[in-house]
Amino acid sequence: MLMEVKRNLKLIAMYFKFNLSASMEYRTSFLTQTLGMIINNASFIFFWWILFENVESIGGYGFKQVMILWAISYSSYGITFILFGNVRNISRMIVNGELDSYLLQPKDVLLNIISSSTVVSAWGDLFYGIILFIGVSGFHLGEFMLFLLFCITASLIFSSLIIFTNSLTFYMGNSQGISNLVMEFMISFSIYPEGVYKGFVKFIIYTLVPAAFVSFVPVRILTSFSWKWFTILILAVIAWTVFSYRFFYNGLKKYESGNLIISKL
Amino acid sequence: MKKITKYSYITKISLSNNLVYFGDFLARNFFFVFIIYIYMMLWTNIYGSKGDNIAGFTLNQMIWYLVVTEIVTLSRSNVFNEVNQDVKNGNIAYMLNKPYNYILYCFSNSLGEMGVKLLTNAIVGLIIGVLCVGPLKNFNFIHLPFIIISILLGIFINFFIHISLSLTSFWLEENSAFFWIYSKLVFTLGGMLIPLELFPEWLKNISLNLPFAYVTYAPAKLAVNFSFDRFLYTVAFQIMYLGIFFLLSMGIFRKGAKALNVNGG
Repeated sequence: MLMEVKRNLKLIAMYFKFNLSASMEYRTSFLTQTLGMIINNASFIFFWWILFENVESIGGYGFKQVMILWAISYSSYGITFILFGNVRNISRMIVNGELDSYLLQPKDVLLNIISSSTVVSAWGDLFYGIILFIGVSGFHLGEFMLFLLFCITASLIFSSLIIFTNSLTFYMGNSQGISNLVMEFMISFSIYPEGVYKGFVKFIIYTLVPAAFVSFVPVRILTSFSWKWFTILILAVIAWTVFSYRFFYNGLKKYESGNLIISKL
Repeated sequence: MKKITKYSYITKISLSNNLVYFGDFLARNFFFVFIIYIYMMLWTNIYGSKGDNIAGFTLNQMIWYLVVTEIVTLSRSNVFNEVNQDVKNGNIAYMLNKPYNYILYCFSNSLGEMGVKLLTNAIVGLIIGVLCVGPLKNFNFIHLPFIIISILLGIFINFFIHISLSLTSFWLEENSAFFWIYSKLVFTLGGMLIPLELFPEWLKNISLNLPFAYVTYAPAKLAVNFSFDRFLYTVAFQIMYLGIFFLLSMGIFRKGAKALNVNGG
């Protein structure tokens, strides 16, 4: 079991190394896209700054909490697409019969697929989140490490949800539209204060679209540490990761190869 | 007269091309509905703690303000990418010798796209506005034509700024940075998500004199708080900025066409 985990982590690390060097080949483009994304995201600070000039708190959150919400959401989004840039394409690959080359390789199929490419602008999201967090919280090693841990847990939940919605393609045909929509929901729900959501929407963000475990629970823990919420968060991450992994492999049994010939270099 | 007929034919063709996708445009508005729904929850929470009136806006006015700014923003044409493509792939060489002015051709061509988008966005916007907060209070149907004039002027200013920016591709290989910087200026100083009345006084005074406010803020403010004085003031500013950016785009095009160097064919 441990050897298996180690082997998979090594695969992710190798892909990361190669993807990074491929991105760095076009250094100017890499830097432009990263910087562009940082400035693009920063415009939302303006929106919240104006809002908090007029009100003291929104849904129980102050300016600092909202910025941490954004920092975790963006950094986790960044980590997801730096490491698993291909995760959004699973649905298309299933429909086009492009999984064949991955099935033949002696590596974990899912990890092999999702790690095989990266999104360059995601570096901008990652850096933006880190800069924003240090900007509003200052640099305290313990708190910063906790923040990084929450970015990783959030990216696991985020990736799991995308894997799940993309894997629906095995069962019901092209689910790209649903997947894009759920992703949009997930991002939008996770960047506004939790107190804003009521009733049914609140139920949704703790279950079907688990935005609460991406940003709200981490902010709650960072504001006032609680072992209870920490345990709930870790359990939710494990549950979503295992569920989406199993869901993909169950669906894979239904996969029908096409006659498409692809060379994977 | 012949000249006007020529351009009206271009608009007619573009309109019928876009009407084919009327249903598709309507479906794409799901995101519009979702954003307004999230902002309704956000503002309901803020009004719940702050009282019935914030910076002269009731909750009802605030949501309708957002509906109008979104209608204007979402009804933009794809002219930025189209002109970029024309210049970069050399297609523009075939358009220079046609018996029309390129800028006016693009404008008439975009009118169809903008018209269909405006119509679908307005239908969806009206439904979501009524469902969220009920009809706009103190709204008088006599004011509607004047509000529509201001909305159209906002969309046209947006068009001519976009085309001015995209024409920089005569000199620059990569000019998309201008596009997103401008979008963010409309988002922030243009009051797309937050009315200028909530800005600090100094920033409000600056923003009120910049063109971005006349794309989104001015028509939306007119819609929720109509007076003929405001209409005249708003439209005067809008016509001034429309004239400036129309002349600017003509100037840039003339200069760019002289510098054009097309290889092959």
